[in-house]
Amino acid sequence: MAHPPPSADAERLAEERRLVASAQAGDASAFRVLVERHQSRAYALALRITRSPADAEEVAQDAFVKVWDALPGFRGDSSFSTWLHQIVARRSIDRAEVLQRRRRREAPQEAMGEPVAHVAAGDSLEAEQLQRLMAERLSKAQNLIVTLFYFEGHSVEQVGAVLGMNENTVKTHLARARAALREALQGSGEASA
Amino acid sequence: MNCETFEQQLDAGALDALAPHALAHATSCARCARALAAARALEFAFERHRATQRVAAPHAFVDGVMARVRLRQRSASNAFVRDSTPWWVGLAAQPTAVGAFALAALLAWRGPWLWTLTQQAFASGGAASSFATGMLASAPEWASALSRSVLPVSGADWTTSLAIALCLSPLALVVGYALYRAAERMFEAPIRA
Repeated sequence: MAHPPPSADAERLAEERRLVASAQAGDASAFRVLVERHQSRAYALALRITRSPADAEEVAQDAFVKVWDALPGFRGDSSFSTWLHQIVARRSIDRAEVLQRRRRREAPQEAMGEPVAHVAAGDSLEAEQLQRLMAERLSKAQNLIVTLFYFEGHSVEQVGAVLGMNENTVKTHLARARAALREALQGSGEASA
Repeated sequence: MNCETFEQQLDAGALDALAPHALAHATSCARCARALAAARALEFAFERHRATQRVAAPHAFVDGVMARVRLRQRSASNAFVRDSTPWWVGLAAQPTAVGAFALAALLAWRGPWLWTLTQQAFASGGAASSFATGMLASAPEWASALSRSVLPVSGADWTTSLAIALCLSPLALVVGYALYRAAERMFEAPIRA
């Protein structure tokens, strides 16, 4: 993966700080630029957690509005994107829980979906199978951490900042999640063998 | 290297950094070989889906956020404070407005009496320039008369009246604050695009 040179990174961060400062002073056009820059990642995160495009859009938009409201109090202790992802993640988890309850109530059989048993360790996991495996085998916290770490490309430190956990806790959750998924995959491989 | 240590290394997620003796263990242990294959399949799946699942935010996402922000600005009761006015204006506005409402209510209710009281203060001070001195000199009498007049309780001394007035003052503050918020909306700042 090609990374921009450090000076470009610093320049981008400085510009982002300027935009945040302008938005904090009430400049909606600066805030619009911030939304344009972060919309895709915010939406993607919400989509991965809620697994519903309509809800993801709603949640991500809500998160941006919440960010606008809370901007005057933003002190810049973390980066703007970390802060935004924190808000998106929290709101998405809340929405996902509501959706999960609703799905269970409306279609208890369908909610179970197809078993993942036919996926052997040697096969490649399809996106849907991977998502289902995560939903079935991981706790909410583990699922979220795996999503942020593997799909969003956050570092352990950034995941900790987003979720308000220390790095060791994140590492522990990641290790347990890997073990749970691996065991599920091994088990399904053995079952299908 | 035993199976437990090997699995701990898999849980840590550093598959590329597995030591040669760990890999050697996997070749001699069927269980650990399956675990390694499952771990690699998972890492591969995460990597593949991270690359392929780049999602773009829906069309008009930004416009949706900005429309909600504008709506928020219109309805936000602190839009006036968010504008370019210095922070201390916002800080001072609320108590000042509450005080103004309270004074207006007092004038409407006990206007002539307040006027008489002011005249008495002038008279005891001797001149307009010593108004403040006169007010200070007559402060005990003024407080007593105020409490008796504002909340006359038949058969009670002035301290009882004062105590009742103090108990009711939070109510007056709440009403004053509500009136202030209503008035504030009339002077909401124009919305900037």
